[in-house]
Amino acid sequence: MANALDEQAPPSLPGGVAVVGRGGAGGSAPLLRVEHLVKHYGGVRAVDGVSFTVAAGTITGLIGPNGAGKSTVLSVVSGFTPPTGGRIWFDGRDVTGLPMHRLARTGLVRTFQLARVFGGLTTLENLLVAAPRQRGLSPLGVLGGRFVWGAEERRLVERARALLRRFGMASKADDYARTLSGGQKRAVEIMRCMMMRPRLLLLDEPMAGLSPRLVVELEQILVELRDEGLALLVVEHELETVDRLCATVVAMAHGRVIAEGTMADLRTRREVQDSYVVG
Amino acid sequence: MYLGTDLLAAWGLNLEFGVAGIANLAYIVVIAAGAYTYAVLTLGPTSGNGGFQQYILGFHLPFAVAVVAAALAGALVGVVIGITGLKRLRQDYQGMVMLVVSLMAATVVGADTGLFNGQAGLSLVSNPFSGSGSARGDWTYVAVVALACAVGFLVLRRFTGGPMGRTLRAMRDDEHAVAAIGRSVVKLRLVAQAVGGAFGGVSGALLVGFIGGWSPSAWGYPETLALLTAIIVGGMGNNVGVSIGTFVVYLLLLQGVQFLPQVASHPGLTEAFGWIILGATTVAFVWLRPQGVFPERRPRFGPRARSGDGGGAPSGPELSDSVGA
Repeated sequence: MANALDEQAPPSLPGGVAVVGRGGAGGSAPLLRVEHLVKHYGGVRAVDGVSFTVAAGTITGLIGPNGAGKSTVLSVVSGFTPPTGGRIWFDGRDVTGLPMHRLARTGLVRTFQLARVFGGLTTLENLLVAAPRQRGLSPLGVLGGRFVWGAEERRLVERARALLRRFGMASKADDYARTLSGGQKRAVEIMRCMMMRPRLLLLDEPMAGLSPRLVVELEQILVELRDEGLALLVVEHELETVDRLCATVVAMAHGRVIAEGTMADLRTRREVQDSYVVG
Repeated sequence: MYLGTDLLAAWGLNLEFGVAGIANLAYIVVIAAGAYTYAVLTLGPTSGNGGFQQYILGFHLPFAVAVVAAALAGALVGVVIGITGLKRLRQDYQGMVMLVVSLMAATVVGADTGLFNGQAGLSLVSNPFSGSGSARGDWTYVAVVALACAVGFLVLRRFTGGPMGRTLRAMRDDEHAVAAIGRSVVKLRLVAQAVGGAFGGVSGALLVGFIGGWSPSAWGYPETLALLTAIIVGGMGNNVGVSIGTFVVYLLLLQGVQFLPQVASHPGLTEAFGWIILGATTVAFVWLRPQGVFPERRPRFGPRARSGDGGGAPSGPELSDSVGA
């Protein structure tokens, strides 16, 4: 599996270009397989027997009206909250019930509906902190200081700066993340995920609150990431965005999957229309 | 000497609270653990002093061994305290749990006379350098404490200055996001509390070695609040700032009030006045300057990048026109 992003990735990011193409570079083998997933909160069946797959190198959309259970699916799949029932397979391995930090180490990484950045760290630090298997986190690294982790840190800084340039945020490197705008925080969150070299990225409403221009730019970035081999599962309300990005779309209502296919297919499906009209 | 032991304690709590965001309101317990450990390891058997005080162990160990053991005891108790308040609790609730732990520990130690001589506490803990003449011994002790502070500060800088410190500060800002980047919050918290506890343990050991006694009245929970004030005044997460905050709070404030004229009709009023000023100072800083006098330093990684800086490569559009999400 190719890394989602490396130092050799082209830094150019033409702005304002319409995003085209929903295909992917990956094969058809499912990277993520969710089977009969169930999540209850007390007596509320937030997710009720959901099954779907995400193939490597593709962008899969997860849509539905408010309360359909999309974000809950994302929370359970990412390990943020344990499932009540069902199984989750990632890259052929049963990862059901694994906590979020362990899933993240396997390459299954998420963002949050409200962008969560480390406000007391600078933008650059927000990226550095996410790099996996850092030598400075070991007892030897802590006591040995820069002698142990200095060279690695320099490489990570270069990589983080390359990402910042790619996202057009190089000038914000030394700004505290708490001072960034909502869109910039969301970009930081995605860059932070990229530092982890993920294989599957779960995005919870990445376009929420962004300006139309920024939506286009972010769509462009997501397509580039997909073309580099990253798989994405995107919960999104903006159906135009889903249409442009996603090869496969899973529609949910009342905690269940009601349809699956391309966005064009789903627009014609009566049950999908009803769920959006009736809720 | 007192400033040195206060510094070690403040640095340890700063690592937990200021850097890692753990509101450890039971921090005084790890100081007490270090003090008691040092005392019962350096004291001889209970039969040797006529049995006027009861305690466990009594190994009559050398100073250095006892200090190391006190550090380990502080780390162990720090981890135990951390475990009680860790699982699936919000940070404010964790703080409450730790406050309760602090009260319980003082109650248990005070009630059990066989452990550390109950409420009467331990006394006759010898100063290992007192044999070299009183004044000279005291100064030798001061030098040892200064050495401990120097080593402690270097260890602290290693801990807070690199990737580990960055990860702990990230956890302070958002535990869920730290878990999302593959870090175990539980492990990080316990590491911070173990290291912070070791600092507290050494602080307690050096203190009891100098003053010669230790009892439950010496480690009430307000002592933790005084350390927190030092951290808040100096600047959370800034080791130098916390050092200055410790100097201000302990020497200028809590010791300074001792020089106020005593009120004959109200003995103890000046001491109470010190605590009132301490509380008011904490509230004032939380309201008006929560970052403290010396805020955490912003790290720099090489020259500051200019807008669109791409090292010659074309850069993307600036993500600056978005609305708040």
